[in-house]
Amino acid sequence: MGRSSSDSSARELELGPINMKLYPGLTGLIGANGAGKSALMELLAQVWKPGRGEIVYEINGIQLHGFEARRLTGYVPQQISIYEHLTVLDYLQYIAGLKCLDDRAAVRAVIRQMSEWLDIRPVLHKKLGQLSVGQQRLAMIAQAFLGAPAFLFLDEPFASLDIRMRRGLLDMLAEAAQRSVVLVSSHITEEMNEEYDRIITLADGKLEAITADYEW
Amino acid sequence: MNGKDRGPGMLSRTNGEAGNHEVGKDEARNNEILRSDEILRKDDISNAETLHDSEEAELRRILARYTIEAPTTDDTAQFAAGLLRHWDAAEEPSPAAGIGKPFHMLQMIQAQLKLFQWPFWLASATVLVLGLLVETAAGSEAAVQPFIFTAPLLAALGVCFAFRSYGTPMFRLEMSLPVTPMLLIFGRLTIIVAYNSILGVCLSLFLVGGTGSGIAAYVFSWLVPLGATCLSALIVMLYAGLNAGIFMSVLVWSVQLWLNKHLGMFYIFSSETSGYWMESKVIGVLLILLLTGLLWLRIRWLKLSGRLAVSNGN
Repeated sequence: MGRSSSDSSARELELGPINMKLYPGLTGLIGANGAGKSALMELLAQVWKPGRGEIVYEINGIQLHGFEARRLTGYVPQQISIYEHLTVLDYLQYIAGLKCLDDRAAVRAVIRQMSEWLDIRPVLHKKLGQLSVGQQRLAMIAQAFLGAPAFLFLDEPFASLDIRMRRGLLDMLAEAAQRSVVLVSSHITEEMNEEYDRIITLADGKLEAITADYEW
Repeated sequence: MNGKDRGPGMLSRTNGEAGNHEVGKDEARNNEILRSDEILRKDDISNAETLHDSEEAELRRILARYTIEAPTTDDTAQFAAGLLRHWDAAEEPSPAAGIGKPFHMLQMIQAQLKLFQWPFWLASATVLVLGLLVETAAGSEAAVQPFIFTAPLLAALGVCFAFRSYGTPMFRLEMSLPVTPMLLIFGRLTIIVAYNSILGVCLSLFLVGGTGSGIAAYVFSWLVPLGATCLSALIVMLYAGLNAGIFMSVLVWSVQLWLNKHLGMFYIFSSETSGYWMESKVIGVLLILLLTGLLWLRIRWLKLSGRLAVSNGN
């Protein structure tokens, strides 16, 4: 399918064949380490172009062009992706600006949206480099929600979060899944509970199984 | 209306014979309806009135999520308006295609200004002023004029600072955003070059005075090396990583500093007092044009191959 890299050593991984449709809902992506979860996430988030095949993004049956799809996509990479010298607020405004959003309004909206589950306000004016890994990940999750994305791809978003934050994030994702395509990868199968609408299993870069929640 | 019945969808398709799966609401719904039918059929056979509690609970659980309120007229109107908005958006050409559109370019540059904070601006200005002071003390006849060397090195290091995320996970995240690599790279380059140029012109006015040809020649003396050093650093960085970019900018600068007049017409950091001043500047401009062409080709190749985020030496 494509050639990609899921870690810093830039190894190459062949993905596919994969042929699937995702609809609004919370979808879990599981698989062993090296199964291709991160590579698939990067392809879906348009970090890479697939070597073969295509990924089509639609809203109400209308196909989006690449720019529009990117604008409506929120992506959380597996690795911590920040500028350490920026405050959380500056970081969010920077990403909002690159998403062609009114940065202040978009950041206010996402803080308001998140506050019900994960309160990011106490760290807004702190530099990212001074925060714990869990708090840095929280900032990464917040940037993914900027602009009310229709497509959310979160690669191991629960890593480094405490139990309370994991619960809050799962509730927030379930709420977002009411209107958005939400794909969440994890190598911890036990964390995939009844909140998920379906589970996709990858093995060796290939689609192994798709399971609806009532079947597992 | 239940939002799950409409909204975004995505199709991922790759070539291959095996692994042809399809997942979606329709399939899930069909499966659950089949399962509900199965429960009902079982009851028909025995007695529909005697549905077991557990079966009824299971049936209710399965069907609950598909029970929605009937849409109101307002719901239908909102849905239609939403469809029309998306339709219009899909009909418009991609904003990314309008790379030349000044507003979009300015918006991207404005967003990237966040990456540079006041210590950066202050440090740059301080170093340039120091270069000016040393040059004033050294006099205009010296083979090496400090200000002409300060501005290019500072700008080249600024370019490396601006691209410190290159090859890191942060850069991958940036590549998923609706900004083209071309805009991202030229936006940052513009910020650095523009800031150093404006500062340099102001300080040159102070040093040389406002007389026409004198100031123009002096600005040209440091502007050409600034452009050449910045572009060298950027291109090497895009090919070989951030550290290689820093090394290249320092190398070019050091060679020019230590060999100065011995380089003849290749002494592109030369001042007006140099014998090959004009020739060296022409060579400098040609070098800038060549490097700009190489940069454009490199960005184009990286964009087409979709490999911008890993082409680094880190």
